[in-house]
Formats: sequence, C-alpha cells, structure tokens
Amino acid sequence: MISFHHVSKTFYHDSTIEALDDVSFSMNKGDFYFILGPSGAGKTTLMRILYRDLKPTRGQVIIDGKNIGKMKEKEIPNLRRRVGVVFQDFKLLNDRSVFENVAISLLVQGEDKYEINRRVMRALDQVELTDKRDMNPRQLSGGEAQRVSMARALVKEPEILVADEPTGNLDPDLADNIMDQFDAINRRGTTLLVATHDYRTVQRYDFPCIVLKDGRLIEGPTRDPDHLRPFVGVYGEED
Amino acid sequence: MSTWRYLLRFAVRNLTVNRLMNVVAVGTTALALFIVAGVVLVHQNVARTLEGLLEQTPVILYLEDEADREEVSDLQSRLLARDDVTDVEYRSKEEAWEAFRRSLRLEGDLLEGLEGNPLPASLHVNLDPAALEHVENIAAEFQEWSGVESVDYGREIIEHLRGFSNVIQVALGGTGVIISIVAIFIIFNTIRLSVISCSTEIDILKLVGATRWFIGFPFVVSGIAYGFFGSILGQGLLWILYWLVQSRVAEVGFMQLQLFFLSPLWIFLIICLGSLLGVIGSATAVRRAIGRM
Ligand SMILES: Nc1ncnc2c1ncn2[C@@H]1O[C@H](COP(=O)(O)OP(=O)(O)OP(=O)(O)O)[C@@H](O)[C@H]1O
Ligand SMILES: [Mg+2]
Repeated sequence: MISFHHVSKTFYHDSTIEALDDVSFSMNKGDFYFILGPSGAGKTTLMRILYRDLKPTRGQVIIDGKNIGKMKEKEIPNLRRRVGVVFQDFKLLNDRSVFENVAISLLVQGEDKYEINRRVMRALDQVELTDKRDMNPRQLSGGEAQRVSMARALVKEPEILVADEPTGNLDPDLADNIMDQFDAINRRGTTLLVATHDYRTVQRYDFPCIVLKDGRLIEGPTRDPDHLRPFVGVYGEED
Repeated sequence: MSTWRYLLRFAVRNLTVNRLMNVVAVGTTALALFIVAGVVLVHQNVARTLEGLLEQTPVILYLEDEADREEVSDLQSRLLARDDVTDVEYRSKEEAWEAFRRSLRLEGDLLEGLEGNPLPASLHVNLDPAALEHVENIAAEFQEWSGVESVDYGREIIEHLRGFSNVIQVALGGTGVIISIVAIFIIFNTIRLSVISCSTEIDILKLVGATRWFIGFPFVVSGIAYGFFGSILGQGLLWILYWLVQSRVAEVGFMQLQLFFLSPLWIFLIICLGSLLGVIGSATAVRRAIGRM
C-alpha cells in the first residue's frame, strides 16, 4: 500500500543537507511500523513526504498505486484526508477550544454539524479528553495537547496514521497508554507509522522497525528488538 | 459547529482583527465608488435636462418667399400626416417680424429705416419625443421639400449633449478606472496581510486536507464585504451631497431644473461593481498569499 523507492530528499541551504538518502521500504495495508533513529536522522522528513508536505528530490513514493511526488496540487487535499498526522509540535490553534481544534479535520471535508459533533466527541472520548473539550490548548499539559493532536488525526478515520514522536513529551505511563491506543487503532485496520527515538517503546511491541541514521535506512524493516540492540547506542535513549 | 459557520466566522474574524486596515479598505472603495456614482449621477442629470430642452425646441421650417398659400397648406398637411409630428403651427412673415421686435424690445422708430420685411414665414413643428433621437435626419428630409428655404432645430443642444457625453465618458473611464484600481490594490493588500496573519491556521487547514477554495473562501468574503460596504458608504455620501445641492437649487429656483438621484438599478449596479472590486482584490491576494499547498 505504501512504498518508498530510492527516495532522497536534499535541502539546499548554506550547504546541502541530505535529509533522506536512497530510502526504500514498503508497507502493507494494516501494518504498524516504527521509524527509529536519533535526532536529525530524517524521521520527520520521511513523514512529511508521505502526506506530501514535501516532495522527494529523487525516487518515488507510491500510495495505493499513486506516485504522490507527481501528484497534482488539486489531489493533495484528498491525500491528506486519508492520512492522519500527529505532529511532533502538535500544531494546535491556541485561540480555539479543544473541540474546535479536533473539528477542523471534519470541517474541511464539509461534514454536517451532527456528524461533526458525534465524531469529535467520540475521538475526544478515545483520548480521554471529553471533560477538557471547551478548554484552550494553552491551558493543557504537553501530554494533553499531544492527545488533542491525536484526536484531530483520528477523527477523520484515516486509512493511514502517521505519528511523529507521539510519546516524546510524555511520562512512561502516559506513553504506554498512548501507544496502547495506537495499537488499538491499528487493530481496527489503520496503517500506522510511528516515529520515535524511544527504544523502550519499541521493545514493548512486536512491530517491525525501520532504522534511520543520517538520512539512510541502515536497518529493517525488522521485528527483532534484540537484533536492534547494537543500534541502541546510536539512539542514546536506552533506559 | 458547521462548515459554513466556521467559514463565516473566519471571515468575520478577519474583519474585526485589523480595524485600521479595514477602515482604509472600505474608505478607499467608498471614495472610488463615490466618484464613479457621482459621475454617473451628473451625466444622467445633465443628459435629462438637455433632453428636456430639446423636447421644448420645435423644428422650424423657414419657407421660401415665393411659396404661395396652397403650397404652404400642402406642406402643413404633409407634416400632420406623419406619425412623428405632434403639431404644426404656421407663422407668417408679419408675425415673425412682430416676434422679432418684441424679442429686441424695440420701439417702432428704430427699425423704421428698414425697407420691407426680411424675415421669412415659417412652420413650427413639434416632434413626438420618441422621434427626437432622429431629429437630424428628419430635419434633413424637410430640407428637401419644395417651398422650404431652410430648416432649424436644436442642433446646438444636440451638440452639447454629445460633447458632454463624450467628455463624461472619458472622465468616467479615466477617474473611475484609476480609483477602482487603487481600491483593488488596497483591498488586495489588506487581504494579503490578513492571510499572512492567519498563516498558522492556514498551515493547519492545509495539513488536514482543506482545498485551496476552502481556505480562500473566508478571505474572498471579507473582500466582498469591503466592496459592498464601500459602495454603500460611497453612495450614501453621494446622496447627502445630492440632497444638499438639490435643496440649494430649489431655494434659488433657477429654471425648472428637476434633479433626480440614481435609479435603483444604478444603485444596484454600483454595489455589484464594488463587490466585484472586492472579489478581484481578494482573489488575487489569496492566490498569491496562500502559497503552495
Ligand atoms: N526545511 C528544512 N530545511 C533545511 N534542512 C532541513 C529541513 N527540515 C529538516 N532539515 C534537516 O534534515 C535533517 C533531518 O531532519 P528531520 O527533521 O527529518 O529529523 P528527525 O529525525 O525528525 O529529528 P528529530 O528526532 O529531532 O525530530 C536534519 O539535519 C535537519 O536539519
Ligand atoms: Mg522530527
């Protein structure tokens, strides 16, 4: 369903930065992959290419037979409705309530009022934020803001969900709780891609991992956490 | 919350964020449309007044001195038989002379030295108002008739009418277009700034799958609002000015000058024009400022 063929992304600044360098892998519908790698490895870049926030410099990214690098601008909104994103920096609107922040995903699709109300409340219930629905994101803790971002991605019932460091700001208990929710979402058939540099999280689940370093895919997809152990030093995140 | 409510609230928020910019945008549009509407108003009033004068001006057929009674009555019945002629009045040489003397307010002795009566007899023809458009052709036709020496009609009035129309059209074209371009530019800039000030929300909208149309819509609504309110304000100001002038004219009571304000159709057209300026300004701004998806 998703495949990366020799994908490279180069940023041109004072110097050229190879954020992704010849990355290839593929996922089937309903798969759950971790993307593991130290800071600056290219995890966010890979995800942004997936929802066409960035175009690959070289190579192809195919989703359901469609080369999204060659996609026309008109088709982009449709892709983004199918791909839910939990952003590393949340991207919430501070002058809007929690409810409205989640509803925005459905508003852009022109859903009707009752449908929006029903689905937003259900998504908030999933992330246990029903009682905070009228609050402002500024009044929330980091973990709560994270979960609003998650509810916004979930509410449109996406085929693919990508989450960029969804547990980075959370204490271990809450991190486990969030990961369990991702697990549950995946069980209902959603394809999941979760970026993390938290090796502990990866170990708890038996999901394939892709390991990035300096933009290169150095390992995986592999399910063997012990096999990954030699790379742990690379992440520097082992508890 | 529904999609339309969200979009309209977005538009309203744009209109309440930067008050000064809004005032400038509406003010410039109002000025532009004040001028355009003012030019239309003056043009229509002058045109209508001149047409009124033309209606009161008969076509005069000056008759050859040799024309005899029979020929004259023949001409008279030919004229009356026409659809475009409402009535015909004969004026003899003597009557013409009397009228001339009266118009100069002269006593008998001053013209005593003149031998005979140099003024011709004439037929004063009133045309149907609908035929006034073709008064030149009609006059030319009369000119060909035997017994007719020359034909006079309100040529000067017609020339004034035309000359005035042309001048006004140039003025309308010029001022209207220039000020409208300025208004479009100001609306463009105002909307551009409000798009920029909403960039966080726009980025999020893009990432959750909003179309360009969806993102641009609230801004185009704001732009239309500028044009709409600007055109109403501009015409409101014009109406106040019109009212002041009209009451002054009534006071002085000069001629039977009958002024009138723009017709509802024109008011509506100018509101449409204002809204169009808003659409052009805002749509261009949105296209530029939203950037790539
Ligand atoms: N827009 C950009 N312009 C220039 N360089 C960029 C840009 N985005 C990312 N990079 C560079 O590309 C490399 C990969 O960045 P990326 O954000 O994908 O890393 P990451 O794996 O997500 O890191 P982290 O774990 O810290 O979030 C980094 O060296 C970064 O500086
Ligand atoms: Mg990142």
